[in-house]
Amino acid sequence: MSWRRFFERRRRDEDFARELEAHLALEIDELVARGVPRDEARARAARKLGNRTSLREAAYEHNSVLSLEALLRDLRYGLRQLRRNPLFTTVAVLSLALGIGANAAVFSLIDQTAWRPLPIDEPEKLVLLHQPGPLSGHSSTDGPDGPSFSYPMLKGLQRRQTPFAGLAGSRPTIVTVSNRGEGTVATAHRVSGNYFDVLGLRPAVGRLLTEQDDVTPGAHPVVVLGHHYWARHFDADRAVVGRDLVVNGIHLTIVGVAPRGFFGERHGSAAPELFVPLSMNREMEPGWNGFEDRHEHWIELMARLKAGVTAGQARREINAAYRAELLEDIATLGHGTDEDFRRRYRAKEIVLKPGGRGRHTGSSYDETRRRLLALPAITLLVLLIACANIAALMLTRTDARNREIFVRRSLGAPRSALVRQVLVECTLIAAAGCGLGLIVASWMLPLLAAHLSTAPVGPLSMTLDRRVVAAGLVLSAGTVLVFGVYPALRAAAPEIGASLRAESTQLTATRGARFFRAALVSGQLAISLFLLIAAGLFTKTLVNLRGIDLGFAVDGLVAFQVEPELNRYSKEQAAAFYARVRERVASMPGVQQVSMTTWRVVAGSRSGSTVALEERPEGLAEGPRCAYTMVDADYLRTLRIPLRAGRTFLPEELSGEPSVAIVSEAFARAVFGEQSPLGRRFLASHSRQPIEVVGVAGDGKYSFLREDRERFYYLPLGPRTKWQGRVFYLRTSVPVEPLAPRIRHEVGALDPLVPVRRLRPVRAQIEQSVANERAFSILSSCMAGIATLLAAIGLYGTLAHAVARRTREIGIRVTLGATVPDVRRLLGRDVAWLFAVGGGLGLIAAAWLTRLARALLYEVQPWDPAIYSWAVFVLGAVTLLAMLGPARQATRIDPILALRQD
Amino acid sequence: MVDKSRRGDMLQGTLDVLVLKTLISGPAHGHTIAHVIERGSEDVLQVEHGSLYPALHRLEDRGLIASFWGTSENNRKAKYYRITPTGRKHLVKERGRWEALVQAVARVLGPPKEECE
Repeated sequence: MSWRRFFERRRRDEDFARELEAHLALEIDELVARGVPRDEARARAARKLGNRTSLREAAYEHNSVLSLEALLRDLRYGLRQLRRNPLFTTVAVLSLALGIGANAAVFSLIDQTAWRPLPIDEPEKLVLLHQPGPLSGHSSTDGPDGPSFSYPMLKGLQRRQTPFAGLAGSRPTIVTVSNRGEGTVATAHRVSGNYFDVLGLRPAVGRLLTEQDDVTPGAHPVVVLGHHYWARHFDADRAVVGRDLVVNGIHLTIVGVAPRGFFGERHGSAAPELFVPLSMNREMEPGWNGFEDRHEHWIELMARLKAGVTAGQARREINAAYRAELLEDIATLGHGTDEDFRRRYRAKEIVLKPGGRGRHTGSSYDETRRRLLALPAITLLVLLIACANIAALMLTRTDARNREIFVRRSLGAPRSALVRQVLVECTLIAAAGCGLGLIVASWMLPLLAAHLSTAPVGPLSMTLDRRVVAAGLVLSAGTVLVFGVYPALRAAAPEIGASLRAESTQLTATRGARFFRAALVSGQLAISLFLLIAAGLFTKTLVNLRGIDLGFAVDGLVAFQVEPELNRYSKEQAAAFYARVRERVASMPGVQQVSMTTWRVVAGSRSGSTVALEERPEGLAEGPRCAYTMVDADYLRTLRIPLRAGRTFLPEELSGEPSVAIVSEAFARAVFGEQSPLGRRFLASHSRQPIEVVGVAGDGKYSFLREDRERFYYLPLGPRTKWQGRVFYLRTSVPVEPLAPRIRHEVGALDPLVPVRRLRPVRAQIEQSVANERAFSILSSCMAGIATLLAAIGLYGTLAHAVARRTREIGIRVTLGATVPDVRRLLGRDVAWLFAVGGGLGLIAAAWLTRLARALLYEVQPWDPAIYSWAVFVLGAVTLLAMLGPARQATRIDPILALRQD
Repeated sequence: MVDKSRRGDMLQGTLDVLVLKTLISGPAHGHTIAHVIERGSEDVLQVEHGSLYPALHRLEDRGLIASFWGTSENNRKAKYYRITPTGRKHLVKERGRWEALVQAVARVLGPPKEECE
């Protein structure tokens, strides 16, 4: 084959025509010279030369790369074949589409959330610093392995470090932006001056922050806008540089815009919209003064490795600096730490983690990762079933076409032509399957993204990645080709004649083919059963979580949040503001009770402290960890949390700083045992004074939906608490939806610059917190449904094929006196075997694999017998349904016709 | 793609060798080659003239011969072929193989007179 010849073939054809003409002329000349009359000579010369047209055609073909004409012919023929077998075509294409679609969507999602590197310079050189081990004081970042550091530690490490080209710190916070007389909420990243240098980013407009912006606290009122924030709120106006932005009541000068596509380095939290130097921390987080405190851990650190420095080297060098800093920490450690604690504290080491793909935050990280693993596992199984279906279909089809192939071969069709034709047909199916699959995927991706809280860095892109599309193409083409072409090759083999003759007399297919087919079907049944069980477990989990007893009445409860301190309100102004909000909201029609607190209930985070009996202060170090929140006197009544004993807070307890608490039953049991806790006192690490128990509240959910009998206590919410912002809970008797705009209106009337956040029914918040479980339940059910359907189709196809093959055998049996039940039994025995093997394998796989998913389940055992029996029942029913058609076919075989068949 | 004509098709290979041999004595056009082969074999090898051309084109594609347009002895435009150095080498090799084959066949068949008995 030669491309040159291909492109020259028109010229070469003309050349050849001239050459043949010349040959004729020469031959005629010669014949005439020998005395043959010219007409006679012309005829003889032409005869001697042969068919000129076919010669030229042969030459033309010889010069083609891959005969396009033949390809078109095959394409037309293939399309006609596919149209003639609509069931085969539909099943094959749909199987592929569902398998490919589900996988493309899931892998797109995973790629974006876990695999894709950050859009920064040399992402492989970015490392994240962690300090696992004991901490003193307060840590405000959640996440595994101690991701947060104190500001003095950042400064000290920056001064002492040697292995990094730069060491930067960052931490997001919520700020209020005043824009055109309206207050909005924004996420601001407080970053060290070298943050953008360490990431290696260049500005889209203006400049980014530098070391000079992060020198003197409070002296650098500058801000860099996130690209998406700039586009949304400033219409991507390049003249924005130099203008003012009022953040938390402070005028900041906009100096530049971060590059497009950069959404910070944190997975699972809101993308930063503003970047403000750490030196402006007091202004960004007013009312908090842990900036210079060595025991306030809040900044996340990352660094860029110097050229030629390995991670191992860097770790050794940075730990030398870290040890020196730890000594300073220890020198400022407070009372109540023993020698053992100090020894463990000193032994701490910094761990470096690769940072090129960003930082995973939140306590849900491990859960997220497990989900990210479980999801492709499920979708890959569906693809496997689809492949098995294609394989079975192709086998059946090849069997059916053996005769046709044989006839065509006997008529002289070369083997390559036959194979090429099957190839074309397979390619058509693969292309259709893949095309449809990508449509399925682009439809599934937003659905998945909406339901799974596996947030990537930045907003999820809803377009399918090129690589995913390519992978889908390869997968579908591979599947169809492997399973389609191999049988075709075998069928087109030279010894086909023998096998065909054998087939017409043989009662059943060869052992190998039969075994392969049986293996395919039982494999499908096994996977279906496994997926049915998984779907059952996930759905039961969702049902359990939804039906959970929260310990308070959810319906008719509305929550919202305000934080006027961000608008430079003083403590007193804020307290007055809260009182007026409360007053206004309480007077709205339909509102029965209003309560204020500092923490949202069942929101997936916790503020905790260790506690101990007053008599045993040494127990504080190892005492049980308990969560707490600060509430007013109406809290229990508003949420309908039962008061088991004692009383709620008195008005005077809410104005001063009294040391009283209402504790949960679980707390009471854990701290005071079986004795009545009323009037007794306990110590908590956050309080200097002992706290007296005045009431006992019913158990319920406080921080996490999945946590049982959490130990917690309520403290009176006084005006001088260090907590900023308030969460308001409203108990209403009217529909919640019309309430929202009225609440916004009432708060807006007090101060339009104070935004109302997270205004929604608590039911919606809880429904969102089970979004993952819901998505999993829906997805696994869909996948199990698809899988079972595919398996049923596969089974049906195999049985129908078996009946068709055994028509003769069955005919003979009927002739020899077999009754209809006998014939049914014949088929039933095969199906029973397939079902037993497939079902058994499925059960074993389920028992083995669902253990891995135990963490994703709630109050259901991985081997829940009810779910297992349900799954077996469903699969059994589907199997029987699939058997119905072929069984009827078999019992209707007319022995006379069957025996005359060949 | 394997050229089918090279796959052990003895007659095809034989025609190739005959063409190369013909061209050893100088360039010639297709018509001459056909007649030289017919006459050289005392008309035992009857060549359908048309079938010669695919062979010529194939040899040309393989670089064993080259072609040019020229004028025939009776002043007609004709396409001439000449053997290339590669073609010469190929001919030597093929001739060797051919002779080996002939000897082998002759040994198997034995002296001709035994057959007469």
